[in-house]
Amino acid sequence: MSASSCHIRLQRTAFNVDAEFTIPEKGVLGIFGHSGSGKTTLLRCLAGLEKEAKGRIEVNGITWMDDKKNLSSQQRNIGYIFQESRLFTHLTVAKNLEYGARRNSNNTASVDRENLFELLNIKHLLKRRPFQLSGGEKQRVAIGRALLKNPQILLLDEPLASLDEKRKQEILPFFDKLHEELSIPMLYVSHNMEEVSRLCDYLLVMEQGSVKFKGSIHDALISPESPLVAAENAMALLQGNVSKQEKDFHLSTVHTLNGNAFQVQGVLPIGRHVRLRVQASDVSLSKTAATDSSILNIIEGVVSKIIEQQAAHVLLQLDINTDILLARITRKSYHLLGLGINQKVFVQIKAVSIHSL
Amino acid sequence: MFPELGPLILTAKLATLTTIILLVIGTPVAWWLATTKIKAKPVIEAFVALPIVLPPTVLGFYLLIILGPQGWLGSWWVELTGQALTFSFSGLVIASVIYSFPFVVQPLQNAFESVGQDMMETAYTLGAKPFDAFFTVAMPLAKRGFLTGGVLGFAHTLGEFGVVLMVGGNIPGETRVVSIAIYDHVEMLEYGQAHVMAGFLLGLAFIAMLSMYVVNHSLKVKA
Repeated sequence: MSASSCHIRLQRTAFNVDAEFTIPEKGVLGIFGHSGSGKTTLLRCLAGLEKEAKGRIEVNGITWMDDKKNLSSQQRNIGYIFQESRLFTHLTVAKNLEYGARRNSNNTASVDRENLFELLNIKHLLKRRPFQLSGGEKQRVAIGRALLKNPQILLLDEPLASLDEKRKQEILPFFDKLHEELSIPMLYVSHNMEEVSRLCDYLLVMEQGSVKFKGSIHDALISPESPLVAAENAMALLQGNVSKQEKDFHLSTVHTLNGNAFQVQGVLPIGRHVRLRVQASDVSLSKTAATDSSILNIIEGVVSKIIEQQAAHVLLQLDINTDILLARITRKSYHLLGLGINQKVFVQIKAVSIHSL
Repeated sequence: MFPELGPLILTAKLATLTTIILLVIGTPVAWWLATTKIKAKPVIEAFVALPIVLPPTVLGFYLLIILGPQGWLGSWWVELTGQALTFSFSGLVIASVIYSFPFVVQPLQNAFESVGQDMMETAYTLGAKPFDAFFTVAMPLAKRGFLTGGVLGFAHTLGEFGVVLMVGGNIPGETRVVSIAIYDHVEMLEYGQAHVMAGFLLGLAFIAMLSMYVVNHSLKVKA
């Protein structure tokens, strides 16, 4: 499989979209930005829904758009999930699912229907009509419909934005499963940090139509160059596997790939791969290891970067045996502790403030 | 008393034919109006809506001129078929199509507008070409518009009087429709005959409207 790369330009009255990026062969590329940053427009350009779009799009070695040609949506082998499910209300769930599959039957590889229906838990809905489904069920059917046409790439435009919190939590696990099982890349447009940090492997940060940062989700969260670092809720992401449970205390221990152990809330299945989200404001530092603290996670590390200094606080990047965290502390503490680059510190994080995803 | 069957059959034939022609012509016009972005759209919409407000005699007068043997459409027809369009069934069909045009196009346009570009785009992303998407998504989703347009076009043609009088006259078997026959009977003080026909038209119109609302309601519930 060859690489996929795009350079998309589109003039809009409010702003111009001008974005250049590559699409990974597998995994989830998040397109993150505030509303009006051009992220949905970018996705629509990729899907061939913006006729005025210019530039170059190449997916798996096939040119979808360049100076000479511009394939229509139906010629691009995409799966598109809209904010609202957009099921065809005059058709049953089964017929909705068939709609895309029937029109793309010449695709070589076939989709394992049984497996897909099971994965999305929609088998019992086949005979129903869309008006008989809940919001979450509709969106699962819409995902099934897009995947049954066996696309080369799955484009998701804020697929959870129109659902309430309860439905969102209900459908997120399905996205986790898709993430694990799909062998095609997914592009996930969102303005929600929680969804992005949970699902995405790579991130494009969009502002006013242009790409402000591109890289792995880790780098997007912790690099001084990334606009996300300046956000109030700056955070870092760690990945690891659950190694121990303490059922009595409702705690679990997660070992990161770099060998650090973190205690987190909740009894998680042993061996499960989890992401840990640690907010910069939940991390505190001391020069000696406290032995009588309530804080369960106290790990030795060094200050690797001073990302920004403001009137009241300082944002530091910490290297804990190559796991990277951010810490936001007051400028006063920073001076009182005499901190600086390469300074050895003990990093303290309360188990209750680590979110496992 | 036996009702006069000729005008009833003629009226049914005229209304059915007119409705079929209107659904065929009206669909692309309504789709174009629903999706076009040209600036002149209000002008075209106003033109399409004219027959709703024009007095039938005004419309009939202009049609008489256009369809007459000297008119641009009438003369062409004479050349083609050797027959005049005015005071003929064919002329009546053309007049009815124009007279009932907005009653079919407007419900269709509204229905297509509510289907929206979103659903078409969804079909495109699933691999449907524009015509395919139109027939498998836009038309089925606009079925309430087809029902409303069809019934209104049919019922409106049933009640046509002024235009028929102007361009069709009162030729039995050719242009003598029910509304003309009723007028005739009343003129001749044959109230019995008039009652039968008027009652028939009243019943037919009510059944058409009732079935439209009933079906429309059941379609709405499942939308």
